[in-house]
Amino acid sequence: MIKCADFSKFYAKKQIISESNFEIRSNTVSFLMGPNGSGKTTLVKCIMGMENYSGQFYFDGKNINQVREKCLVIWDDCPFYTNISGINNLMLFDKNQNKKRHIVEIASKYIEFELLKNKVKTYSYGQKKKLALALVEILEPEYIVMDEISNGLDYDMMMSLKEDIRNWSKSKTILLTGHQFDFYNDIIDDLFIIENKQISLYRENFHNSNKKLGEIYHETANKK
Amino acid sequence: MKQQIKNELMYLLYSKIYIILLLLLCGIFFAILFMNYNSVFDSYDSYVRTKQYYQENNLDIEEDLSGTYTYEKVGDTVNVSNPILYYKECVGRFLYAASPEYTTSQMLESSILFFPLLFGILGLVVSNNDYKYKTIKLKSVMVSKRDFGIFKQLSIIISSFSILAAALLIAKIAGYLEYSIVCTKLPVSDFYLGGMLPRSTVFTKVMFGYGIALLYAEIGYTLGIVFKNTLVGAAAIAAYTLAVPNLGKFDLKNSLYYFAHNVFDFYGVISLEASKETSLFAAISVVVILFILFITVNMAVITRRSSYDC
Repeated sequence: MIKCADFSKFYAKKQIISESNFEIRSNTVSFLMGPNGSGKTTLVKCIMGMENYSGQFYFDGKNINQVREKCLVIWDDCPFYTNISGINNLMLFDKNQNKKRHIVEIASKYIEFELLKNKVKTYSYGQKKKLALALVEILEPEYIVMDEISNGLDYDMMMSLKEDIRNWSKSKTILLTGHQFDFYNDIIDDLFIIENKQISLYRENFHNSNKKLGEIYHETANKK
Repeated sequence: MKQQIKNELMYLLYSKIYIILLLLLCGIFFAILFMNYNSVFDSYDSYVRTKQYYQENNLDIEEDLSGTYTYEKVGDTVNVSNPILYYKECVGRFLYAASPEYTTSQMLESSILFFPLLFGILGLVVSNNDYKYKTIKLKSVMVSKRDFGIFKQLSIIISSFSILAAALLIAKIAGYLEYSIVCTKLPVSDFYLGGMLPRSTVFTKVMFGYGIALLYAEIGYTLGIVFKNTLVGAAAIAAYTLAVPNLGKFDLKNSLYYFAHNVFDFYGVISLEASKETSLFAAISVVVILFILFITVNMAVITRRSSYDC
C-alpha cells in the first residue's frame, strides 16, 4: 500500500496539487485520471522522491528511500541508452544480478531476440515500450507506476499486457495513468481522479460499477 | 551500491567510452615516444656532425668532452660554448628518457598538459550520459539522488585508474620496443649518463598523475552536472587549461605546476613552465579546497534538482 498524507505541490508560487490524502491499495490496479497538465506525472515524480514536495508518502509504512529497490516507473517516453543494444540496456538496469541468458529469456517474451541485439536507437516507440515492460519481470518490483503504458503498443501486445497487469497485481501495487480509457476500463480496481487540483479516490472496486472511464471523465469535465 | 557501480562501469564499456579514451591516451603517449625517438636521432646526428667537424679541423675531441659547456639563449639565438659535449649530453639525456626505466615517468610528465581535457571529458561523459538519454528518470527511481551522485563518482575513481593503468602498461610495452630499435641503431653505451637521480619514485609519479586525472575528472563531472552539456564543459576545461594564463598563487594550474616540478624530472621532450611564487601549504590548500568544493557543488545540485527534467 502507498499512503499519501497531506500531499501538495507548488512550482514556484503556482499550486499544482492542493493538500491531498489517499491510499493506493496493495495487490490492486489503481488508475489516476486527469486531463493533460493536471498533475498526474507530477504526482509520480513526487511519490518517487524525484522532486521536492510537501507531505508524506509511505510504502507499507516505509519511506521511499527504504523501498527504492522495489520501485519501478515505466515512463511514457521509455528512456534507454539508445547508443547500446536492447539486451545490454536490460543488463545495465538489472539490479538482481540475473544471468544474461535469463534476461534474454524474459525479454524474448516481449520483443524478438534478433531485435534485442540491435541498438535501441533503431527501435520504434512501441518496441521501446516492450523493452521497458521486460524490466517488470527482470526487476520484480513491488511498486509499479506506468505512465501511458498502452501508447504505441500493437493490438496483440495490448491484449497480453492487460493480462500481465492483472497477474502482476496479485503480488504488486500498481498505479496507472493514461488517456486511452478503453484499454484501462476492464483492468482497474481503484479509480483516483484529480479534480480542482486535489487527488481523491473516486471509486474503489471500479470494475463492479457499470460506468466507463470515458463517461466519468466527461462528467467531471462538465462539472467544471 | 556495488551493483550500481558495476552497471555504470559496464555502460562505459558497452558504449565504447573506455576504448575511445584509452586510444586517445595511448595516442598521446605514442606521440611522446615518437617525439623522443626523433630527438634521440636528431641530437645524435648533431653530435656526429660536430664530431666530423672536430676531426676535419684536427680539434681535440677528448679534451672538450672532458670539459664543461655553457648554454645561453638570447632571443632566437642559442650560444653553446662546447658543442660536442653539449650534443653528447643531449643524446645521453634523450636516450635515458627513451629507456624503459624512464618511460612511465615521461608519460606521466604529460599529465599536466593532456590529462585535464582527457579525464575532464571522462567526467563530463559520466555525468551527462543519464541526462542525454534521460535514463536518470529510471535510475533515480531505483536509487536515491544522493546514492546516484556517490556511485557516479566512485565509478569515475575506478574508471580513471583503469584507463590510466592500461595506457601506461601499453606505453611501457611500446617503450621497450622503441628502445630496442634505438639500441640496434645507436652505440647506446657510448652515451651512458650516470648519476641521473629521479626527483621522486615512480609510485609517487603514478599517484600524482592519477591525482590530476581524478581532479579534472571531478571538475568535468561537476561541470556536466551543472550545465547538463558535454560540449560546454569540455570548452570550459579546454579554455582554462589552454587559453587562460597562469593566474598565480591561487590558481589551480599554478599549484599543479609547483607539484609537477617537485615530482618530475623532465629529461625528455616534455617541458613545463615554472610555477609562480607559491608555497607547499598554499598549493596543497588550493587543490584540496577545490576538490572538496567541486564534490560539494555537484552533490548539492544533484540532490536538490529534479531528476525528471533532463
